[in-house]
Amino acid sequence: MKLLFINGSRGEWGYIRPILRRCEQAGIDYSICATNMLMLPGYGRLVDEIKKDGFHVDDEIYMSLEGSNHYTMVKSLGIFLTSFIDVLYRQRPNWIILAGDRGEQLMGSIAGAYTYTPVAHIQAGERSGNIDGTARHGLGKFVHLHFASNEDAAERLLRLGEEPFRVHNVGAPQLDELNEGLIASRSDLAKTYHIEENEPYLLVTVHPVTEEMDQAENQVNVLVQALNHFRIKKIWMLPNNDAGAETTRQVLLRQRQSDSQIYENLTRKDYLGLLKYCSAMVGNSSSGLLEAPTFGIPAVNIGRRQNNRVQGKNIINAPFDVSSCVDAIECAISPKFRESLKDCTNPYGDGCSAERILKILQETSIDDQLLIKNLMY
Amino acid sequence: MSEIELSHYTIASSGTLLDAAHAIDHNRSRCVVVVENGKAIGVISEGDLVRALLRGTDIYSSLLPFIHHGILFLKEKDMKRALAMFLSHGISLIPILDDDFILRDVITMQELLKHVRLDLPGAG
Repeated sequence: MKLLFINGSRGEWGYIRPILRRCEQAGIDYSICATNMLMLPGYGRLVDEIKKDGFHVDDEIYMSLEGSNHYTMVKSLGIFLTSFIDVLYRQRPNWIILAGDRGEQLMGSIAGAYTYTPVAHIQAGERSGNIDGTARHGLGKFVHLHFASNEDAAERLLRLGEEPFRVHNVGAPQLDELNEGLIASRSDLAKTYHIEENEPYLLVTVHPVTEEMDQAENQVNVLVQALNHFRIKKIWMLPNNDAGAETTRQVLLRQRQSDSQIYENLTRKDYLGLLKYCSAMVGNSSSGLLEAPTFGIPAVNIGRRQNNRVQGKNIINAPFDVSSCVDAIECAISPKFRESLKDCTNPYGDGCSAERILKILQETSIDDQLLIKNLMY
Repeated sequence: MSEIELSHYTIASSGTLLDAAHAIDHNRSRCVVVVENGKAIGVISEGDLVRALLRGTDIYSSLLPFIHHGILFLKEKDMKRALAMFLSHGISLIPILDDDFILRDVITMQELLKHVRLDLPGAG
């Protein structure tokens, strides 16, 4: 069995890496097609870290046009699709493995469906805001197997007309490494990131919301103003390269003060360490919903980017206005709220997903029933 | 450090990789601070330039995609803390930044060494 993974963002790498580690242990052949932000120096060139970790990357596709607007996003996806089809022709995998909801994953599903190459999709069926949420369900129509991370997502896929044999509730594989403790220690983080071992800090990530691209500048300003109310160190992650990203980056760098550290990319191990030991997570990254609950970390989820997504009890929602954000952060870092998360459970699974996913892929017959889709509604 | 001296350790964010190489060649500190309106927005090192060239990047490209925004800095010229940072991070230049991230001074490796009594035979 040969698996071909498409990886264009650090978020997707979180889903994929636990599965690749299992592949290496089990001697399963795989191939990584690195693209989009993984290739860009301005976004930390994650592809170099992946190779340094010992994984082999067989194809590297530059796809991102400059501009950071809706038109360059679409044109960039076109570039990926026309390049990826040659990868598919050369690699001839048994399965294409997609993860998440970004545009390049949608392109991968189209290439797979039209060439009758089996495609499996991780983190399928969830609701989320942004154009990404639409892409997630769009690609769901092209793929042949759906790996949902909870019952809510699995049921939605069935309601959307997917045949029951295609839908598997396996949990979110990025939680596997949280369970396995592949996390930087507090003392290592202190050395690398110049934070005293007992020093509290907030972990902040804000991505532009594609349908609110014109408000990106105002939204970052609001968040910076809100955070300035707190005399506590802030560790910022720079955003993905979606429409509006350049504005977000510029505003952040312009507004930066000496209590803020800003990083374009972190290793997965360091990121998970920073998440585990932070006072709270703030922003609109899915990590607050998907990963923070495992550590019982409060997360202030701002704006509509994660709209309608299943949430654990660690989430405090707030709109993009200064006083609401200040109130939400105050609540998040209060001892009382922290105490209330002692029994916090993660609605995205138990951290044993990679093994389930590989077992299903190995046991699924590749035949006409799999490759020819029937809608059930 | 005078404003003119300090300018040897900075480069405007509108610069190219070649500009950064010239600045590093001039300041002999293997690193330069990238500034925008006086505010530090990142650093770029000799190593970053080498890696960019190894990837086939044109020397006249903008330096922006290659800079690191996670700057290691101090708020005052504290040589003890500077020594600890040089040793733990293997860096070659420490910017001194104020609360608004405006560059006020730098500590170079050479400057630090003048403050350190080396416990080596024959070392002064």
